Amino acid sequence: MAFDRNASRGEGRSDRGDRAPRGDRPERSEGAEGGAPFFRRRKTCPFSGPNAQKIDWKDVKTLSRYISERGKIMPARITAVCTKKQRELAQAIKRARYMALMPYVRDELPPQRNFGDRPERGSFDRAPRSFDNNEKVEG
Amino acid sequence: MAKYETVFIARQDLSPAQVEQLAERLGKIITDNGGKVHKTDHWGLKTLAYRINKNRKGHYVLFELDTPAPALHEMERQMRLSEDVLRHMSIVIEEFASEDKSKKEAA
Repeated sequence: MAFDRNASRGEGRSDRGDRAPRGDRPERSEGAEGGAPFFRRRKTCPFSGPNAQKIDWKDVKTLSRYISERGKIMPARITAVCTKKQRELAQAIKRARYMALMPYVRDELPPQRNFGDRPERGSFDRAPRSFDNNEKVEG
Repeated sequence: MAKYETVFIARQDLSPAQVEQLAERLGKIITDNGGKVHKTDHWGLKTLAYRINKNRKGHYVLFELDTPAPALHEMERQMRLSEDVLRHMSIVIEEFASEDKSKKEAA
C-alpha cells in the first residue's frame, strides 16, 4: 500500500514539473488525485467590515445560524467568523441561552421526524431512526 | 450614570396588565433613585427555550436605563425577591439600540 501511494505521488510531482513552465497552476488541480478540490474560496467574516451586522444577544434569528443542530456554538473555522467577533458571538449566544431565548442543548430530533408516537403504517420495515444527521453536524 | 439594558422574564400566569404593573413598579425604583427609564419594551408572552421553575412560557420585558449603579442594584434586588420574576439580566451598553438607529439615519 505504502509503496503504491509513494509511486503515485511521484507521478504527481513529475506532472507538476511539466506544468510549471507553462505558468500558474489552476487553483483546483491540487487535489485532483484524491477527488475533492483542495482550494475553497475563503468566506469572509459576516460581522466585520464597514456596514456589517451588529451582534446582538436579543437577535435569536441571527444567532441561531451559528449553533449546531444540538445547540452547540459552531466553531469559527466552519462559519468563518473572525476571532474577535467569534468571542462576541459566543458571549451573545450565552446570554440568549441564559434568558431562555435559545436552548443549552437540543436533544430531540427535528420536528418533521418526531411527529406522533405511533409509527406510520408500513414504516416498520424501514430503519426506525437514522442518526446520520446528528453525526454529521457534530463531527 | 451609565447606560444599561435590563431584561426580565415574568411568570407565565400573570396577566399582561399585571406584567405592566410589575414593570412600572420596577421602573419606579430607578426613577426614585435618580435614574431614568429611557424605554420600556414589552415583548409579550414568549415560549421559553427550556423550562424555568416549571414555566414553559414567560412575559419578557426590556428596559433601557440611564441610571446610577445603586439604583440598578436596588431594582435587581427587588427582582430577586419577587416570585413573579423568573429571571433577569442587566448588561452595560454603549448606546441604546433605538438611539443608535436614529444616529445612523442622520449620518
